[in-house]
Amino acid sequence: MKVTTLACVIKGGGTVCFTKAPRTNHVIHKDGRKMNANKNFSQIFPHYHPAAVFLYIAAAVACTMLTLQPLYVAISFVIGSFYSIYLNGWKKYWFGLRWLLMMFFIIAAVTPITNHRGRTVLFYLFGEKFTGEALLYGVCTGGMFVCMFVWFQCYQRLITADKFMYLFGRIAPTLAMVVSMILRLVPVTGRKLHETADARKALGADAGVKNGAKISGILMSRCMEDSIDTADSMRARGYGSGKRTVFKAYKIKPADAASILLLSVLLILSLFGILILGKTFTFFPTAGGFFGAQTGGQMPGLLNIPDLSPPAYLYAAGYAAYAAMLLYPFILELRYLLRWR
Amino acid sequence: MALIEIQNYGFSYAGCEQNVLSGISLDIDAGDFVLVCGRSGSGKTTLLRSLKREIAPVGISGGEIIINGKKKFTLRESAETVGFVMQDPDNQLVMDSVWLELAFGLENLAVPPEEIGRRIGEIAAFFGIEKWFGKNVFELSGGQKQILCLASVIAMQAEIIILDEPTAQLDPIAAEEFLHVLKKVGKELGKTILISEHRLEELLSDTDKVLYLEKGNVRYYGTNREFPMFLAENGEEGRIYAEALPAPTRLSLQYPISKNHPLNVREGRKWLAAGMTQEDTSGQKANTENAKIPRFYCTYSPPAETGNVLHPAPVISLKDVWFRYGKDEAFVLKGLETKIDEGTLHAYVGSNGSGKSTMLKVISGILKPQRGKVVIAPGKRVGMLFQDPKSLFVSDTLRAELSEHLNTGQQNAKERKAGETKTERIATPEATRDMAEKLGLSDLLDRHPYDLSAGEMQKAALAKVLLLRPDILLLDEPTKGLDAFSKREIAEILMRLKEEGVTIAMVTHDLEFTAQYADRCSMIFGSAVIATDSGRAFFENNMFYTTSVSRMSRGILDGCILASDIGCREDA
Repeated sequence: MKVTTLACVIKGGGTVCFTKAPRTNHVIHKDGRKMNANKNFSQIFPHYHPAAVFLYIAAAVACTMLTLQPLYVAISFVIGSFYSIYLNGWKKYWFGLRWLLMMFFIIAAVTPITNHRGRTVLFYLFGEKFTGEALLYGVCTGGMFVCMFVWFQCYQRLITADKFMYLFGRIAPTLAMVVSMILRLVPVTGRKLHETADARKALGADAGVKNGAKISGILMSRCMEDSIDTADSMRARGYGSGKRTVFKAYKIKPADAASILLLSVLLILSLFGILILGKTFTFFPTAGGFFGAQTGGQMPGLLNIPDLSPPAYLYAAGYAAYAAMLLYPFILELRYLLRWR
Repeated sequence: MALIEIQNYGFSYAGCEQNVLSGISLDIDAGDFVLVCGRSGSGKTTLLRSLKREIAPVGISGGEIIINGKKKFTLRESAETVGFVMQDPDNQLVMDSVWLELAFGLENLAVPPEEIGRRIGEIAAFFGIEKWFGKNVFELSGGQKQILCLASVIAMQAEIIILDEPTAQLDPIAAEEFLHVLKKVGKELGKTILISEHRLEELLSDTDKVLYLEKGNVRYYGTNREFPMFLAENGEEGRIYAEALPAPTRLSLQYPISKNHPLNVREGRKWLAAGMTQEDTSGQKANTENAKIPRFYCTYSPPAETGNVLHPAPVISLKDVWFRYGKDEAFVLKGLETKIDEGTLHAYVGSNGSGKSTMLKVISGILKPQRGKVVIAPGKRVGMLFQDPKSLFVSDTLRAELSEHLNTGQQNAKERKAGETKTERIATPEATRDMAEKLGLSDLLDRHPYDLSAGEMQKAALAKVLLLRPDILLLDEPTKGLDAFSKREIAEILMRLKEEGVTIAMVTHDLEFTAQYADRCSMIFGSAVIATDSGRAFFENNMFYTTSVSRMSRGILDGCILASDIGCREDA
């Protein structure tokens, strides 16, 4: 999990940097992306302590990954989409999502073709049953992927590189530094690449494989050449002179602590709902069990004693806790907006 | 005791007969602002790097360097004592955000986290970087990046700040911004500063001491006031280097009416005004009208009207060109219109981000305008030289570089229509050799392109472009980071090309260079061309955006834009 998060940071941060890196070094961007970045500052939740923000987003991602239960997937999708739009704007949200929707439709369509369980037969395809339950299963699987993506869109906005560094810098200081250096290299190299490609174009080079190979060759030697300077600059500033300290840019305030506590409680309740109560839900043979075990269905696991099966309102509380956890930033935003009145 | 004592220091690279530095002995006092100058290859960088052991060049050294009474430093002590700022701002920045960069050095020194916060805050306030404190480094301008480099060194409380051509990669406005901050550091923090720099114009009047190197020897180490006099009397090399002096100083050296040479425009105006009103000192004619004749006059007289001025046909015309880099981004060019006449050197000046470089790329066909047209006279080849010559090099030696048969590819459909065959454009070995000779690169052919000096690199890149035999040459900041020698060489090459009938369009910040060599000059502002004039008229009509001679003489002696425009009547 940690490795993927890291990869996402590099990739996510990288792509953002890359698209933003001016092709020439004098174009200052005054476009939508910039405005979105500013929009972030008008909100209050991104200004909470990175640990609180990270707890929120990690909880959202983890819970989303843990269940295929339709109601949970729906809650996650609706709130995640809201938040992503709130943070990134419609345009960016949709731009990212449209590619994923293709994947979603493929998963949703392929699952019932390969999986023939379920009682509700919608129609027959090539002599095989095409069941509603299998379709629902496919939709939920695809939906989970979409949700994950939507939450990572939020993650990109909420946990900027420096916040990530702050959070993990003390656990793995060298790794954190290397990540920051890579993040720095991406736009610089991108600019050099454009520059070189343009210069070759001006010389009349064909845009072929050979030219591409040459460009990457130059890029490589330029980067190596330049990295000597970087190494010099690091040594000149005492890197490797002994133990390092790590600068803490954030302090945990009571409000942050309260948020962390509240989010933790909501997370535990949500996990209870998802992992334990959620087990009563089954897709096959018939989909059901949102608020208790289906009659005729078997209740697996720990609470498999009919008398002890939890009451429906407990299930409702589980959903509520999950929704409340995901809506937490909105609650803070609302409170913040009310203070302006 | 002096802060830095250099005793008979010498240096040579391993396996190299010649000494890069020899017999250097000098003391630098605490709080001195020392300008280190000399032509490229005179050993400036080697000397400055030798003062910082960790990044000193590897080779054989002799003599002693004593800093703060000590000869040896641990890595940490060195980082706390000597700070070093290099040429390329992009390469020396390590972290991706501004505040991480500021914290980087302090973290290395194991400063407690609370203390780091405090120091970063102080430094940010001192350098005025609060506004971009939270930004990512790649969003900063070149000048801001270099200021950040300086700030992060000063945050470590280094006593001595060494800067190796810190403005070479910056445009003049960013360079001024940076030097302004540097002067503030010198004045308000009292740091000892050693800086090597080609831009004497901005620095000379503010330095305490000047250190002039020639072939690895210290030829001059003394006050800035006496430096011009020394250069004038120091043989051929000194005289050429004197071209790098501020224009007022150059004029004063040419017409020495007082021992005290002006070092900036303000002093230059006083000097000129004094010369204009000075009484004739020869004595006997003191009571006649002649005594009132000013010493200086403007030597320039506009060429006589020939009646029908031949106006050459434009080889390039841009008609209502609009361009932007992305669908949602701001327009970089907004309805830009301009014509470049055949056989002229047309310079485009203007502030950063006004779209100058973009315009060149549009002309060269690398970028396609979203609206409007670029018309290039039929059969004309366009060659373009980019701002960073490094982006052009692909080979291990200059020889391979120049003979790279790039030109087998056809440039555009127009040429194909013109019926040009591929073979015509292949650079033959003879052509390569001739070109190298023409540009004075013959001795460098076996060197790696990256090992060349800035001036040589620029010439090598130019050679590579010229091998395509362009009829129209587009240049992006050809004089950036060059010393007076290289500038002169580039100018000579351009003049020769013009004689051969090549049309040159140049984007530049170098007003002195433009005033001297450009036939026509346009100013780009707000993404469009707002004024075009003949080179001379352009600078005469500009009030502020003009050469220092023009600024110095305006109102005292109108119509002068170059040092050679001001003449002096001989006495008696």
